[in-house]
Amino acid sequence: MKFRSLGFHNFRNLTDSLIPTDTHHVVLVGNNGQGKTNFLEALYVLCYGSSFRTPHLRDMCTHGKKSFYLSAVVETDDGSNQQLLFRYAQGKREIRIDGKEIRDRRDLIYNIPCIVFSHDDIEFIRGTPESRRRFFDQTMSLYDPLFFDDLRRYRVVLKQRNAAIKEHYHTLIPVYDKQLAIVGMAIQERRKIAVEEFNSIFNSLYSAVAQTNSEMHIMYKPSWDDCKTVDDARDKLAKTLERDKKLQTTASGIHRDQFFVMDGKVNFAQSGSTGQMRLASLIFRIVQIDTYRKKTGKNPILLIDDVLLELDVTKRGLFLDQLGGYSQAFFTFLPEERYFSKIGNSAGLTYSVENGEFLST
Amino acid sequence: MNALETMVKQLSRLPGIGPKSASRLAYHLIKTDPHYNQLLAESIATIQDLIFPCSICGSYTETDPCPICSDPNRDRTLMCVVEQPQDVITIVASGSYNGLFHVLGGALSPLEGIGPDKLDIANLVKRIDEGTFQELIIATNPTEEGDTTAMYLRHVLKGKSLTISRLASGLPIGGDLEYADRLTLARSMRGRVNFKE
Ligand SMILES: [Zn+2]
Repeated sequence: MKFRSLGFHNFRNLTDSLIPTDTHHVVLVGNNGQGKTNFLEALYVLCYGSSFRTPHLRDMCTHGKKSFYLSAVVETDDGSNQQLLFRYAQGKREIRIDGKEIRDRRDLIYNIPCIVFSHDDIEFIRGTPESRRRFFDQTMSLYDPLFFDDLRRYRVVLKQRNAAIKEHYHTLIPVYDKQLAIVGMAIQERRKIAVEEFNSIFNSLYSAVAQTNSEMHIMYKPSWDDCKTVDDARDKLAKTLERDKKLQTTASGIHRDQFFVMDGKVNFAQSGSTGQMRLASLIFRIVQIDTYRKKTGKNPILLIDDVLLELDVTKRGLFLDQLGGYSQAFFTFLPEERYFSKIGNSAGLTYSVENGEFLST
Repeated sequence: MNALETMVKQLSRLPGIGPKSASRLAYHLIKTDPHYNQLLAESIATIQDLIFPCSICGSYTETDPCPICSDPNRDRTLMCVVEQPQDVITIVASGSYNGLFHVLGGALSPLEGIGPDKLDIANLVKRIDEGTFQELIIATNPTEEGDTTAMYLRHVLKGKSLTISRLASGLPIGGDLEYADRLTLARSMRGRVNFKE
């Protein structure tokens, strides 16, 4: 997959235009606040129907506007062209692939695999257990539609169970317990496997780029750690129902699973320096790409936003070596920044970004 | 133009009709054949008197009991439970089912305030107790709410001498993507094993 062009209208600070992107690398150079990240965000929205920066679509409208649209021509793996359209108006989104409206987001997210390296990724390391859970959910959903669907089902049933607790529909709760147990245990099992797979490459990648000897790994602590079967999970929910009623919510289940980044026996979120955590977050993304590639045999599109700034030249080179294959990559850089020769020398488009305008250089 | 505004407002309350379509419809009604408007108005005004839920099964009918409930040729050992009256029409049209029906009037969803008390479950139990049914097919929608409803019915009807099955859900409508098959297959395999108490 490759974006051949990207068009935008009323999007953030970007001047309405159609930008060719028909090369393996696209480099955006400019000062902060000029529109580089907005450009990457537009690509991301066309891939997934949502942003990696805000949960509110209206935030992406140009100041003073109430709607925006994005369009792109994408070259698919078989070499044909695909038309993508995303429109936000009157509080609603409309997504079209080749003119056909996509009503279920599931039909969109498996269209273009794209992975973003963003400044906020450091939260995977130093943030709440929830941010790591989100990372793993995203990683697994990218290659496993059944997992994505299970997560969605689990969330719906969980909301219903909580509503049943609040509205005193107590006869329904055993039914919800059973539904949660079935889907939840399936999710827990696959998370265990995913963490094992993650751990099998995480430390060696980290050590290679950080040039240290570390014992980095993820420790997975499921909320239903003591449950082996679906029936165990059902029993657990039944036994803790009184507590759940008091709390007015479901206090156990895979929505409370925790993931810790460990260096040996030490919690890395407490022991690591900011630089080390930044690096570890980059490695998280590399593992995500690597896993995606292994599971699907496909190369993703990469959006790499400013995250290399804090790495020295050697580490940048090492990072780039580990990146592996991709079908297309977009990089952003500051004007004074020396981007690595590997990208600078290869044939690719470079745009200088100023005040929402893109000039080919 | 107050009359026009009122009409647009009323039309846009219909499902699937936004303000734009509503105003297009309204302008169409202004210039169309007055006889047509008369017919339409009459049919709207009388629909609820002419078509109502069957007092036995709950599906829409012009006579009470409905033609299905009063058809002596239908298999009275078979009962199919559905969410909405429209589902009865769909299943009848498929031509593959010759038993009776029961319409619940929705699916369980505490989030929307729909508990067991809001569905016609009491009459279902009564019909089973008083009738000659041997097999119950639960044909609620293949959604989380439909699953919950099916499992809840299963629980409520526990102990009755009755075979209970859940209608196998086919491919999702419009599910033309590769993974849809995989997903549905995996899901229905799992469902098969789990549809027991
Ligand atoms: Zn009837």
